[in-house]
Amino acid sequence: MLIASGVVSAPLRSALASALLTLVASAARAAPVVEAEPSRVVLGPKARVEITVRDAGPGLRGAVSVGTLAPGPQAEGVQRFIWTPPADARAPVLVLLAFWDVEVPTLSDITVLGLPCAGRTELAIDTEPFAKVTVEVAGSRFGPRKADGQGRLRVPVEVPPNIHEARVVAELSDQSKVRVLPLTTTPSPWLLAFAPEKSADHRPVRALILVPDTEESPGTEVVAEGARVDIEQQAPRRLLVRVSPGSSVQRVPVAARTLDGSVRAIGTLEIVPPPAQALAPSEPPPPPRPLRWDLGGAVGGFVGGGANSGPAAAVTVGLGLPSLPLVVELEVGVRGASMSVPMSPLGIQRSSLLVVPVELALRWEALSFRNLRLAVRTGGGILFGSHRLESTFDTAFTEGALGYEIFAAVQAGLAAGPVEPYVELRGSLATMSTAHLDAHPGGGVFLIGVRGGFE
Amino acid sequence: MNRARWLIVLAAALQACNGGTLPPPNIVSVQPASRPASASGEVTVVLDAVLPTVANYGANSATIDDTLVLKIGTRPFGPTRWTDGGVVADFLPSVLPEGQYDVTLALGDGRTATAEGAFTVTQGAWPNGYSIDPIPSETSGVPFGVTLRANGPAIDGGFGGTVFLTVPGATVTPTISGQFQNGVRVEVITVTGAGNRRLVVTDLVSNSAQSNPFQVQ
Repeated sequence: MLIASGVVSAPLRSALASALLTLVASAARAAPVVEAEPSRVVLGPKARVEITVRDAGPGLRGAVSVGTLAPGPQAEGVQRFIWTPPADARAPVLVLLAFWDVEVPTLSDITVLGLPCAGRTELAIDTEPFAKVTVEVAGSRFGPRKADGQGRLRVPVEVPPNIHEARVVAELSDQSKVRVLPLTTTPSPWLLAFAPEKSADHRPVRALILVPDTEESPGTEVVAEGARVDIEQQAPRRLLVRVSPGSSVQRVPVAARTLDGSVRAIGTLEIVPPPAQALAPSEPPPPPRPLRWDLGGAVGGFVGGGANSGPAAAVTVGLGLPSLPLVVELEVGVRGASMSVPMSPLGIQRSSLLVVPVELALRWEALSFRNLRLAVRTGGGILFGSHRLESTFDTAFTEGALGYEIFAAVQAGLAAGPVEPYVELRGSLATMSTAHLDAHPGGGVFLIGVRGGFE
Repeated sequence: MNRARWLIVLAAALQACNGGTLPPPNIVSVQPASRPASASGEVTVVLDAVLPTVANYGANSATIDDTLVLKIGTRPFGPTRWTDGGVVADFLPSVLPEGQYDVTLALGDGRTATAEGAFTVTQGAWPNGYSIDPIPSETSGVPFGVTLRANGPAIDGGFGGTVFLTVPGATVTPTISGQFQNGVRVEVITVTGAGNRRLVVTDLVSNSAQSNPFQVQ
C-alpha cells in the first residue's frame, strides 16, 4: 500500500528497491489522501490497481499519465478508481496519477501518486557451455538456468522502470563470471491535465504538468497552438501553467517537452460554449415528497345563528399528493342541535337534529415555521341528518334529512413527534331542509384535533 | 351513459332519504260509544296525530297547523283547533236519530281519519209533551230566562235530552236547549225581533209546545 503525502524529491531508484514509491505534493491545505493497492504492478493483461481517495470534496477530479482511470465501487467518505494499463503496454513505466477537488487548483491542492509498473521480457544470453546463469535486475534475482552446449540460454526477467542494466552471473565448476548487460528502456510519459477539463467560451484554464522522478533531464517547457501560455506556479518536477486560448480557435493542441525538444506529453484543450444560465450552480431541487397518509380526529362546536348551534366532531383521512404541499381529505363528522319552543296553548314543541357530514376537502400546507404549521382547507359535501319532532301535545315524528355544506377553513398545528395537534376555524355555508325542517348546521365551526401521519 | 344513469339513481336514492311523510291521524276512541236518541251529554273523542310542524332553527321557532274538523255523522263536533293533546270532549245534544254514525277527522294539511260506525244512537224514550212557564214582556236582544218542562210518562231519572227552540217571526239563541235535568230545563235565551211572540220547543220526534204570547219590545 502506498500513501501519497509529504514531499519526495529524491531519485526513485532506491525507492523502487524498497517497493515503496511515491511522489507527493506538499499539501498546504487538506488535499485528498490517495492510496494504491497494490503499490506496484507487473504489466500484462491482468494488471489492475485499485486507487482509493479519501477526504475529497464533491468536485474530485483525477488524471493519469498512462492507462485508464475508471470509477470503482463507492463507499461512505471514500471514492475508488480502477487503473488499468493500455492493452499493448509491455515496457517498464512509472505511471503518474493526480487528484484534486477544486475547480481551479494550485499545486498544493493536488495529490500525486507514482505507480511503478515493471515490464516482463526474456534476456538472450551468450555464455560458456553448460554454465549456470543467474540474472540480477534492480536487486531481484532470476534463475539460475543452465546454458546449452553452445553456451546460449534465455532468462525471463521483470524490469522496473528506469533500470538500465542487468548483472549476469555465470558459474562453471569453480569459476564465476559476472557481466553487465545493458537494458534498453524508454522514458516514462509525463502527466498533462487541464483544470477545468475544457475551456468555456475561450476562458483560460490551468494545465498541470507532472514529470516522473525517473526523468533524467527535468527541464520542462509547455507549448500550445493558438493559445498563450503563462507559468502560474512551479515546483521540482511539477508545473502549473495558464493556457489562454485565442478567440478564433476551437481547440488548442498542447505539448509538454524537455528543453531539448523531446515531447513527453500531449493533450488537446477543447473549447466549449459557455454554460447556460440554467446550469449555473443552484440549490438542488428538494426531493419529491413521498405518498403519505394521515389520520386525524377533532371535537368542537358550531354556531350558525338561532338554534343552529351545538357540538361537532370529525374524523379525517388524508392523502398527501406527491411533490405537492396538498392533502386530499375525506372527512366524516357528527353534529347535533336541538330546540324547545313553547306553543301556547298547545304545549312545548321540541326538535332535535343529528347531522353526519361526509365531505371531501383539500388542505394546503401553506406555511411551516419550526414546529408551527399553518394550513388552509376548502371543501364540501353532503349532510345526512336525522330530525325528530316531539311535543307535549301530539305524536313524535322522525324523518331523514339531506343537506350540503361548502366551507373554507384555516388550521394551525404544532408538530410534536409523530402527531400534530391542531385547531381549526371554519366558515361554512350549510343548509338542510325538509317539509318540517329549516336548519343551517354550519356557520362558524371551531375544532380542536390531532392527526398522525404515516407513509 | 351508464355513469349518468347511476348518478340519477344515486340522486333519487338520496332524495328519498330527504324528509318524511307524516302518518295519517287516528281516532283512538269515542266515549260513550252508544247513547239513546233522547239523551244528551258530553262525548269524548281521543285523537292521535302528528300535527304538521315546521321547525325553523334559524328563527328558533316552530310553526304548527293545528286546525281540524271533527264530525259525528255530519254534525261538527268539538273545537276547530287541536286541544288537550288530542282529547276532544264536547256536549252532544239529542239531535241524532237512531242509527250508527261515522266519526271523521280532517286535519289542516288534508290528512283525514274515519272511525266507521264508532258512535251508535239507540232508541230514545221521549216525553209526551212539553210546557213552558209564562213569559212576561221582554226586550229584543236582551237575554232572559225561561223554564221548560217535560210532561208525560215517567222516565227513569227524568228526561235528560234537549229540545229545539224557535220563535216564529224572530230569531232566538240558542237554537237548541241545554240538557233537561229531571225533566226540567231553565234556559237563558235571547230573542231578537220586536212584536208579539211565542217560544216554540220541539224535540227530535216532533213533540212540541209553545209558550204564552209575550211582547218583545
